Amino acid sequence: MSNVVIHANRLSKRYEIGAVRENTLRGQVAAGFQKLGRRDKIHGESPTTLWALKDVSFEVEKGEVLGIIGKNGSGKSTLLKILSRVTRPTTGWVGIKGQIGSLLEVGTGFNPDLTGRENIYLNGAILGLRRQEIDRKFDEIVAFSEIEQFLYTPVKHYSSGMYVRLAFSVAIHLSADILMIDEVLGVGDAAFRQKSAARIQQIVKDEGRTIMLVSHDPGSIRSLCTKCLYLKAGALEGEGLPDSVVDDYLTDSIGATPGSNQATKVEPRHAKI
Amino acid sequence: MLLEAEEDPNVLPGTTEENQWKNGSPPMDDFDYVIHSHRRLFDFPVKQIWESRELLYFLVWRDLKMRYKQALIGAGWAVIKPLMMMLVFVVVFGLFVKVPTGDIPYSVFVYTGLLPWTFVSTIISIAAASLITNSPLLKKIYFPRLLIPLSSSITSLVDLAISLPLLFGLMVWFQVPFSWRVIVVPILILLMFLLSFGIGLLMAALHVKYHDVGMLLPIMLQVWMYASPVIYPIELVSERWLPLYSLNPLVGMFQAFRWALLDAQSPTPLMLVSSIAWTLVILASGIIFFHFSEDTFADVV
Repeated sequence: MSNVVIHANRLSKRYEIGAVRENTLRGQVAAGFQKLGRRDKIHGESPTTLWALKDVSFEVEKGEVLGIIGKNGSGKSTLLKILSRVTRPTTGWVGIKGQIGSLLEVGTGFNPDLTGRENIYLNGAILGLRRQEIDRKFDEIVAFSEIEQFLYTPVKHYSSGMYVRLAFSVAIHLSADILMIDEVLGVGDAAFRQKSAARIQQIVKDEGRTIMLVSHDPGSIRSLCTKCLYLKAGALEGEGLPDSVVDDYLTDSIGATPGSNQATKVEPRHAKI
Repeated sequence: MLLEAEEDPNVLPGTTEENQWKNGSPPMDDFDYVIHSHRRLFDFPVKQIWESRELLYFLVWRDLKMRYKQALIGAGWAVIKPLMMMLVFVVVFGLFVKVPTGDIPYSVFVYTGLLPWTFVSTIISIAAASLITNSPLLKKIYFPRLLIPLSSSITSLVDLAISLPLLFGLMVWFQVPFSWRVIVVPILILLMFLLSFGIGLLMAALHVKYHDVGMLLPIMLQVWMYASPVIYPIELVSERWLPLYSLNPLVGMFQAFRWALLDAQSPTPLMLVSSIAWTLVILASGIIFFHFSEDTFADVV
């Protein structure tokens, strides 16, 4: 097969919403008895299942920047979780060529009591970097994050801006063939955002790697991506060139005229950060 | 049956079993790996665990750092905890109850029980809680999940570097002679480590699903301590109950530990067989159970 690095085939993911109560032995026993009791009318019961993803198929080719857009709860993060192997799909399968590096949330695996330097090593290892690679890229990571003088300070004393900058810098220096980025482009001030966008361009253009980018922000999808998926309530609603898909998404979700500035303002930017 | 499938909440409405696989099975050859809805039976991630050994190192390093960084006396706690326990037992059972321990002072005797017990129980309780304490990681990033309980168990191994020299110091102080038998101590420690790691794996996988484990475990550990020769010599166990008592895997290990260091009565063959057999069975079932529960951790934790 050609250049396809990710092939997702009919992915669905089901979550049991009622599962919280069954988290204890007592809950499970109780639920068991309930099921016994209403065996005959089980189909009449209101469903306690949620399909976070419904029958989603797509392909990503090497060197593409695939944007995924959609409202909160539309299944974007679930999709990335499946691709990064954090959770399994309920049905369907994904074929992957190459190593995936995922940045599902800034600062995952950061330890507040460790220093910036220590966290670079810990987080790097968690994200799949080898120790030697971290040694080699260390100066680059520090320079990118602009926290040189706080390298030996525990990160709990960092400002939130410094914290996310450092976390983002580690992740953006991953050597994986496919990078998955979830809602992190809103990190830092305008200058840092621009630097991040430039770094992403570099990763794609110069290094020929592949990126999957999840965002609420139509702006970054338009400017960075080569292709876009639009997820709505877990199903694939649109697929194609970023501009047209983003327009569809905007008209669909807020009924605004495509491209209008107001539309982008209404969008909750980077709500997860 | 067919009609029911239509409304089965386990199947996404509109997709039936047959068209889910309409495109056939995935073309394995085109990809480096394929993510399926279910784990294949025999894909134990042995290779991945080996490849993640650096991550294991960093996780152990982090745990050690966290354990001792904030505490004022740092590593001192590894000494203070068993010493305090020893003191309590010396007062209650050495002075008041006067447990007979032959020529050996009760303090040395009880410490040779508390040291392995603290080792075993710490591994079990830390490993059991490890998935919960690391849940932010589990939900966000993939790596072989076994690394989490493994790293916390290895962290407890480091405590021995402090508590063992203390034991040897006590023996010198009380003029207990050393013998060649001390060479079996590393083997015993390995056995205890494997047994408690196996139990820790079982408990960790259960703990994610049933939060009751967090409540139940300390009680069970308490009972287990009194059912093992920690604060009393096995001579106190009546002849009639000895065979049953010997089935406890810790009896053989702990008695062998005292035999090696204090010239206590050697463990019976039944005790040793039970120790080794239990260790192998529990370790194997722990790994298998963990392996099959692993997939749902991120969803339920």
